[in-house]
Amino acid sequence: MRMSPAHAAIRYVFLAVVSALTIVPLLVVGITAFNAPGTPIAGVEFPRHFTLSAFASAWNAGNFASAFTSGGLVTIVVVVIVTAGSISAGYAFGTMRFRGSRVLFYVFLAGIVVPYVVLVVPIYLEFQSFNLLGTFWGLILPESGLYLAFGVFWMQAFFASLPTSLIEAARIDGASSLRILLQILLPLGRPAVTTLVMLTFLSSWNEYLVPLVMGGGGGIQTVSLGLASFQGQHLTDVPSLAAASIIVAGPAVLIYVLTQRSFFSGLLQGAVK
Amino acid sequence: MRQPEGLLYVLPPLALFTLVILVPIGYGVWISLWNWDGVSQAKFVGLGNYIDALTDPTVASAAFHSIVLVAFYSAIPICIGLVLTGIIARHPLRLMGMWRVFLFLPQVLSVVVVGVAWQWLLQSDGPLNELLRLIGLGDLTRVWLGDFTWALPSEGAIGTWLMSGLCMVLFLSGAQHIDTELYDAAAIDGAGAIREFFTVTVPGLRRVIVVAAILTFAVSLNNFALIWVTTQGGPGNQTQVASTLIYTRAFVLEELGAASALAVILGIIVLAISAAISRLSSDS
Repeated sequence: MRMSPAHAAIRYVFLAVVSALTIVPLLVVGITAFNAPGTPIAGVEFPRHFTLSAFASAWNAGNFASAFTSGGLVTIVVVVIVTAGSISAGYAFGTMRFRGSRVLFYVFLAGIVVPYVVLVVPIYLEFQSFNLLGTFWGLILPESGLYLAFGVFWMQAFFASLPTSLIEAARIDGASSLRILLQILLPLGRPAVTTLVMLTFLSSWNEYLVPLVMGGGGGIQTVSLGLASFQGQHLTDVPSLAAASIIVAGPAVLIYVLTQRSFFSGLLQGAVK
Repeated sequence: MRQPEGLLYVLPPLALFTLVILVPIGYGVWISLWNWDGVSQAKFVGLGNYIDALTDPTVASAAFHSIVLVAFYSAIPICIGLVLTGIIARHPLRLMGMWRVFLFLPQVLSVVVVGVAWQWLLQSDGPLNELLRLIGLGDLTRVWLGDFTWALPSEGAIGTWLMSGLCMVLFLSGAQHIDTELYDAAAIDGAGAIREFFTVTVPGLRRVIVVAAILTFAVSLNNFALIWVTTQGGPGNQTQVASTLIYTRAFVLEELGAASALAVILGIIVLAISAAISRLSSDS
């Protein structure tokens, strides 16, 4: 079927409009960050005196150095735990049958849709009794457990999509189940694992509720928490707020843009299949 | 063939899952039967907290606000995504990678960043109001998130902005898997664009639509950060939703039993609706 030139053009006009509606509000906020801190901003304004001073003052006033260190540490450990746990359980659920495998898988599945706020009160009380509020593990364990449900589902879908003949053949050759996983299946799972790592990284780096509740009143600062309290103190200082937002969003956007090709190939394979 | 060793692979993640999800679920149900501020002696009240919750007008209005937001986060973005995909998708698209990066960008941002950005965009001298004044609609300007009537729709509009790109990314890539012969067959049958949309595009995307519906539904109820950063449930209780109400009851008012009862009710509703949505995908 041929498409008329008008129709072809209209498709790109629509795409451009929707993309603009998505991006322009962020750009409008972003450009204000290049004013001096405290400059009053009304509406859309290009900075008259281009400066990076708002970034420097937001970085110091918001104590983002420590938020990046502790938030980054939490995120790295969470990504390792969630990725390893999801591969392990996803492998078992996707390729093996054992006592309770179906029931256990449905239990994990149910964890995906339960809003975190449903669990956060009892988690808070549980970790209070372990004396873990305001500690690294008090953030790492709840985040890992909450993200694990999706990860297990995600990796199970990948392992279940592999041809069974692949595993059968390796078994007949006498390979152990661990060797089959590490040497045969995982190399094929690079896109699925990359996407899982990215999604977990984004969830943890951007997490707000868990550190707010489990941080023990600022004992451990993460970047989203840092930005929220920075906002509370600088409500009317638009350039500083914008600069702080860019500081917080920066690492996530940077990694997203750099890995977008493999991220999307894994994501859309999983979601569209 | 049974492979009992499968359990060994499941056990470590299951232990963590038990610690953070299963034990808290049981604990939450237990706490919901008590009147407790977390410090003093707890008093057993049985189902009292549930009866209070179901007769509390604040809870009813929060439930209503949550339903409104589900429409903004879930129904509207899915419709927008479907219509645009219907217009765009039946022929291959140039620069797909670039459009995808733009449309998906809001998903990458911390919700706190999104909240900080929109709070200023919607402020009295913010860009939206300046734009309205510029085009002669100065009468419409207001502090959108502070306005009794407009605060909730404004929160909803932020949700629509947040989720529409995600739906489009999912649908556009799902549409690439629709057999082009179906379109040709529809054309031979004399189907117009609208009939083609309902007989080929939408059915072809059914499974992706279910994925999008579950994702956006889950986000719409997991939106604590956005509301808390922008309005904290105000003005009055105008943007109070399930998540902010539970948080406020638990950590501001220190009514742990009442908050837990609300959490249990929300959890049951969410599980039931998600199960219903995914059943839709396996039937028909």
